[in-house]
Amino acid sequence: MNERIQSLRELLFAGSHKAYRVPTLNATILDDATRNLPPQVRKALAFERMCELAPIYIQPGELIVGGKTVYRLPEYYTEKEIETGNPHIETEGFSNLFGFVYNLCQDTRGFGTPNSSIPAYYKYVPLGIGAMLEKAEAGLASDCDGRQRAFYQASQIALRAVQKSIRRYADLAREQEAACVDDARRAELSKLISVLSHIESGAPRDFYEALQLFYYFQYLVWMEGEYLIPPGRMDQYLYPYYKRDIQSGAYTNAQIFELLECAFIKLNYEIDRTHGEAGKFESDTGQSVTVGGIDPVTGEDASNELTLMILDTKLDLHLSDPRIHLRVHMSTPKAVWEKAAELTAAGMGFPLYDYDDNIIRALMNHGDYSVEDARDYAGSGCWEIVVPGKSINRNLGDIDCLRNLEWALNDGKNVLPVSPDAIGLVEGRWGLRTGSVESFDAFEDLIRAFKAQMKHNIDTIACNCNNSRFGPAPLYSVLMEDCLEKGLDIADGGARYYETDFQMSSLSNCADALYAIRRLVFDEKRYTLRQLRDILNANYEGHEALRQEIINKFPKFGNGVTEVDSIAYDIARYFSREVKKHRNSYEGPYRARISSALGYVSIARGLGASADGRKCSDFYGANLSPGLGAERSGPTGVILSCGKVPTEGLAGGSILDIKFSPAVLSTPELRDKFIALLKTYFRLGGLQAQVNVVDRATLLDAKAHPENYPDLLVRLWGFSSYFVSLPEDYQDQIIARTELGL
Amino acid sequence: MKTAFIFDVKHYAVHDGPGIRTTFFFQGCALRCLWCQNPESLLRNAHVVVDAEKCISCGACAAVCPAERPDGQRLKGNCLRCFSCAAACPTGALRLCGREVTVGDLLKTVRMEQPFYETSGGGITTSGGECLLQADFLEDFLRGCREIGVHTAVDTCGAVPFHAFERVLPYTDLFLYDLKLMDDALHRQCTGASNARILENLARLLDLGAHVRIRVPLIPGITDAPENIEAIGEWLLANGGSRQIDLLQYNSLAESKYEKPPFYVDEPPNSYPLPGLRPQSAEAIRALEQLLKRQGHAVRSLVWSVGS
Repeated sequence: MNERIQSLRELLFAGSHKAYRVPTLNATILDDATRNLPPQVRKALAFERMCELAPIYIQPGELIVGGKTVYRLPEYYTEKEIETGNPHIETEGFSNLFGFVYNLCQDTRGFGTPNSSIPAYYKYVPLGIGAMLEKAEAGLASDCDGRQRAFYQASQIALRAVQKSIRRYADLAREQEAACVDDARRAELSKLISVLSHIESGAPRDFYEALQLFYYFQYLVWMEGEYLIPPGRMDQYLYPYYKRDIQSGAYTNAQIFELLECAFIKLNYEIDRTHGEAGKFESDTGQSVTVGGIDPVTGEDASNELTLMILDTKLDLHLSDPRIHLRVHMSTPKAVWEKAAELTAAGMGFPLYDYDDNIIRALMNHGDYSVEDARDYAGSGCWEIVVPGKSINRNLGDIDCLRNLEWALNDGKNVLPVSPDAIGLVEGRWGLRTGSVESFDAFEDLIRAFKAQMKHNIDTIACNCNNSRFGPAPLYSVLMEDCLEKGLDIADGGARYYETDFQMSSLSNCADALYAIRRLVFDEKRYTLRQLRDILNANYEGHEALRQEIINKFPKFGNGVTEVDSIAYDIARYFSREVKKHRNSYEGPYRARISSALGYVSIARGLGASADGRKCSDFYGANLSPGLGAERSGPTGVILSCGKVPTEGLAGGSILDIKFSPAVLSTPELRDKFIALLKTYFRLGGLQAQVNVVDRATLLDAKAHPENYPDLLVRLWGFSSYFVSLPEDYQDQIIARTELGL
Repeated sequence: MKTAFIFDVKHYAVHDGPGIRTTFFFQGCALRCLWCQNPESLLRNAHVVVDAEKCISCGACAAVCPAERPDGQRLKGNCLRCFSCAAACPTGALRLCGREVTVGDLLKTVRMEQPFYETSGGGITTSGGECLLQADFLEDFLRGCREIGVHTAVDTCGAVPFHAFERVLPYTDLFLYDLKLMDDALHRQCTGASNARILENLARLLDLGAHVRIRVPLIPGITDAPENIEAIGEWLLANGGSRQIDLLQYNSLAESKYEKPPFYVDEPPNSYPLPGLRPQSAEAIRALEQLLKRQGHAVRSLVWSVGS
């Protein structure tokens, strides 16, 4: 880490950028003239006003400038709109419709805020703002209807707002330059001024200009009110600049590396402001940079020098953002694997490995994607698989297997008390009435009831989600493909793909529980189903020996045991088939994914005891991983069970978490074995894997002495965060995950 | 049908030969090393191991015991070795150590894990205890692995009759051969046996052209003395030339195993004879590596603890 980067990193940890934040500008764009304009034009005007008024700053040593400082757009919705907004969804922040929907960030009218989708940086960074404005002008001049006219107007306003912002920064840089007494810094500022002056309209001419323009788009989309916006395949769209600049000698590798680090530090400025005030987790920003993978047209390996360099910045910076998705395939060069394994061994939870062959196959099985688009996928949010510039992705439905099993055993009711006025209850139930446990004569009857609950859960959420629409997003829309061509905002269907992702959690614990029920009730007939159900609902009170027997003596998912694994595979297949049946309000697909997000703590807290030996409110396994403590045959057992999960229908992804002790990855030879382990997982059918490399003692010590571990990064459900910033529950869950290896 | 007693299977074994391996730990050993890492291997048959911390006093063991009372002291000598107590124990406080397996049982595991060997160039390793004490079984098992194309390694202390080596030689791709101490008096004192046969067997094995990796467990103050390491290197040079040598950092994890002894036998010590030893530092190991490298050997260290 060079001196500049070290000092910028210190400024970040000191939070110097926060001093420029203002909660609101106390401004409005509403007046008699604007009140009757289309909402997207008003939003663009509000964004423009924000760009004019927002505090700006350039910190000592910065080469890449910009940063979000305002968290609320000036008022632009009319009172009437707010009053009569989307009636189907609660407004303000998270909407926990039935408690099973998340990421429904709302604008003031109750319309969904677009998120988790990757702007078409590969197209618009090379094009530059001037050329984008020309496209919008040409659109306006064409024969267009009122809605398209509004779109093009809003686009122009938004793009000009970006230009205004850049101009303000250039002016500030000039001021600083004039006052600067340090020759070296003055030269840097002078260079910065030339970069900013050019990209205000022009197409970037070199790496520096391209990176700075990227960052303007990136943070200004956040300023517009959208969030979880990932940068996408940076090693691809920045590579032409890199190659040219290195070949011409305009920049050295060290300079490019430094510029990248400067931009990456910037991506850490918003880690404390992720989901608004509700559901806060430091670093849950969704800012995934995807590297590696294949070329969308040729299908050949597309990794390059920047792939390795971006991985190197992660080793050097030791910061949570950006998170890294590394796309791998059977022809990924050894150097990329080795660098990635080195990064894994560093213990920050980077990268997340995505396996091209299986992911592209799952996308193609959906029938919505062209092969070029499927090959161009990138990671977004946590593990979402989207097509950069083309997919508008929403991450909505939350299906918890243990919850569905609880309903099947309790005729649709929750075990833990539910507030009687909770939304969506029917006769005190969220689940379906699938009959009393006495009516289940065979294990298959229970499975049928379980699946009926799951289907009900999926259908209900899909139905509710289909009542929701997006609010307009002028800048975000103009940065997505097709919108400028069609003249439509993403809220009006301008983008190419609209995906709604459903995740399924607690699969492993549920398979273990169903296995235990089959064995205890239907095979060995030691209990009736009612007796066992009552034992569970009484949280194993007086039956600790049974609980211990289940924990210690029953086979568990995660050890390659067919009797248990086959139950999980059946559920996974059913889930993906049912999810796939739905289409969303933009005629786009619903896609299935196996992941838990924060459910392994948040949902688990509200679940009664389960037949896998888990007590009431205890954690369950993260994402696809085996239940806590269920791994008895090391990582190979985990991979045998998890690698064979049928993934051909899981276009939304499927994420395995593995944990190793640092010693198991401490030498190049050991890391080669780890790479082979991952390759085996992918060859068996796996889609995605992420790895925590940290030892238990370190975590326990960090919990006791947080002051000694300010930058200890750990992998949560789909991102890395600072361990000491986590709520205690989540610290405990990570500690409880099994450490594999020695 | 031939059977053997094994007490553990290690999956993702990354220190026991090339690639990802599955290591099968056989029971029984001819040596009694003070630092034995697997004291549960010393008995050649099944037995029950006690972990009192896990007991929830549910009484399941007492309910099924055909002897009078499964009370630690009184049971001594009374135990019928039916192991029903371990079968009944829900928590694992009483755990059966050692199980009788057939070649088919082991091959089933091997076949399941074969995908990992294929991607990593790995295979299986038989260890112990001393797996060559069950050479008859081992021969069949290794042949079975060979037939399905699985790389085989035999981890041995060498203290067995040479004909045991001859049985497995045709089916063994790699021997991991432990050398501990070159001073015979010290060897007797620390392992209960002379090193004469161990060295003689090794010389013959090398003579036959077997692929051998030498492994030296570094026991602080005992085997990790530079003179001992140097002597090992010299002996190897005198017996056919430079070799591949692994230096194994001391691992104190086994110490806790001694606190959970079998409850009806006295044979393995009930307390660890070498308490409180710490793993060598990386620098100390590097110095020993250099010593052997100067003699022309190819040396690698296997390190368990990367910390201090």
